[in-house]
Amino acid sequence: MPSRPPDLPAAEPVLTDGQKLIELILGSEDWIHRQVERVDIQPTGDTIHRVSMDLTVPAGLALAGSRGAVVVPVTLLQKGPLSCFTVVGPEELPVPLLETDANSRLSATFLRALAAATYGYSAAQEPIEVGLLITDIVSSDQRRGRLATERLRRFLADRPTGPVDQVEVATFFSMAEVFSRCFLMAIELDASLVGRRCVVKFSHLDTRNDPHDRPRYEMSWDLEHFGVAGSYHFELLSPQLLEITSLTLTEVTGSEVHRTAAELPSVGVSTGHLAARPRARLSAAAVVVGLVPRRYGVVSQSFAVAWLVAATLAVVVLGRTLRDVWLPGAVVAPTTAAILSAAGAIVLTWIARTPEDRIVAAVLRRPRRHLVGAGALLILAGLYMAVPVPEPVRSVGWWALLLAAAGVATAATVHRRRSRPRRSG
Amino acid sequence: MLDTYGNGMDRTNGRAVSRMGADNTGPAIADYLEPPGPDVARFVYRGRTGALVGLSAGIKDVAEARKVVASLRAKAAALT
Repeated sequence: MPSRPPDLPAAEPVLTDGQKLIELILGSEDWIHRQVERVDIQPTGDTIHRVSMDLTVPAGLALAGSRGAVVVPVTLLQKGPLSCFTVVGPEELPVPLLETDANSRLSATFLRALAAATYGYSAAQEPIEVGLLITDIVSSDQRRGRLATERLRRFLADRPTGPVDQVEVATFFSMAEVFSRCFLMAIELDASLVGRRCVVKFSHLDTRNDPHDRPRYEMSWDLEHFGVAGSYHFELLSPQLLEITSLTLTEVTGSEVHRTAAELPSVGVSTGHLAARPRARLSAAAVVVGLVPRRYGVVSQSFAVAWLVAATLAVVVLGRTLRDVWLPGAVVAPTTAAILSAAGAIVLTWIARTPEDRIVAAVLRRPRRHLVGAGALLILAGLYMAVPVPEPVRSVGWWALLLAAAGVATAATVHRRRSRPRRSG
Repeated sequence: MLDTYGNGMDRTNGRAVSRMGADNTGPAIADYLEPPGPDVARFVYRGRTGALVGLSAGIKDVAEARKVVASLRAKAAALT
C-alpha cells in the first residue's frame, strides 16, 4: 500500500453538509462580522426592519448550491408569509432566497447532525424515526412542528444511549422547538465570493397594533437574532413629533442579564444608535426606546391655549365683578360673543396641522383632548354670552366655565410634567 | 429562570403593554425584565426573527452558553 510522502501537508478532513451547517450556525459570529439593524416607522405605524450583514463565507464551509453558487444560511425567520421582504447581495443586486423545500432540507440536515453530536451516534446509526420526526419539525406548520418535537423528545428519551450531557440535550430540544417555529433563511451567493468579505442586506415588515394613551411612550423590539454576528448595531429614527430620551439594550443569555445604554444628550434626539458585542452565540436581546412628545406644534399649542382660555375666562369673571361695583348696568358689545366663538374655532384648527402616523396620533391624543376642551369652552362662552340668562344664574354659569377651564389647564400641566421622565441625581 | 416565549406568565402587572408580531401570545423579553412604569405605554414589537435557542434551554449563564456551543461543535467535528 503506497504511503503519503512526509513533506505533503495533511489533507483537510472532508466535512459533511451537517457538520458544515453546525459550524456555520453555531459558529456564525466567526464569519458574520457585523449586523446592523435600522428600524423605520412608516406613516401607517408599521415598521420596516432593514438588516445589513457584513460577512465572509468561510472557504472550508461552503455549501454547494446551483452552478457556480454557494448556499449561505443567514438567519432564522418565523414561519409564515413575509411582507415586503427583499434581500440583496453585493453591489445591491438581488440574490436568490432558497424556497421552502430547500430551506427545510438544510434545517433537517443541521438538526440531524446536531442530534447525532448530542447523542453520540454516527450517521449510519441514526434511527429512521429521528430523520422522519426532524423532517416533520422543520417542514410542518408551527402546531404540528411542536407536536413532532415532543414525539422526538419521547422517542430519544426512551431509546437506550450512552452517557449524554443533559444541558446539551436541553439545548438540542430548544433548537428543535425553535425550528418548529422558524425556518432557516438561506441565500445563494456567487462562488467567487467565498473567502471574500461582502455585505448582504434584507428587509421585512413588522406588524403593529394600536398603542395606549399615556404621557410617555416606549417602543420595544425583541432581538432574537442578536447573537448571530460578532457585533450588533441598532438604529432608530423617531417618528415626527416624538423625541428619543433613552435607548437601552438588554442582553439575555440563559438567566444572565446584561444591559447596555446609549449615551444620549439630555434634550432628546431624533436618531438613536446603539452598538453591542454579543457575549455568546445563544444570546438574545431586547431593545427599549423611550419616547416623549416633542414640545412643539399641537403639544405646545394645547398647553398654551388651555391656560390662555382659563385666563380669558378669569378676566371675564373678574370684569363682571368690577363692572357690578364701578359701572352697574353697563353692557358688553354684542360682537364679543362672536369673537369668543371665533377664537374657539381657531383654537380647534390646531388639532390637525401636520401629517402623522397612527403612533403619533395616539401620542397626541391627550394634548388634543385639552385643545378640544379649551376650544369648546370658548365657543360655549360665546354662546352663553349671547343667551339672556338672568342673574344670579348667569354669574354661576361664568364661574362654572372658569372652573372647567382651570380643570383643562391643570390637566394639560399634569400631562406636560409627566411626559418627561424624572431625572435622577 | 426565564420562561419560554409563548408559555410564560404575564409579569407586566397590568401595565400598558401592546404586543405585536407573529408570536404575541407571551411577554416579550423586555417585559420579563422590566415592565413599563405607570406613566409609560410600551409598544412591543415581537419581530419575525427567531433565536437559535429559547430561554428555557436550561443554560445558566454566558460561560455555560459558550461551553455548550463549543462542546457541540467539537462533537460534531468528530462525527464520522
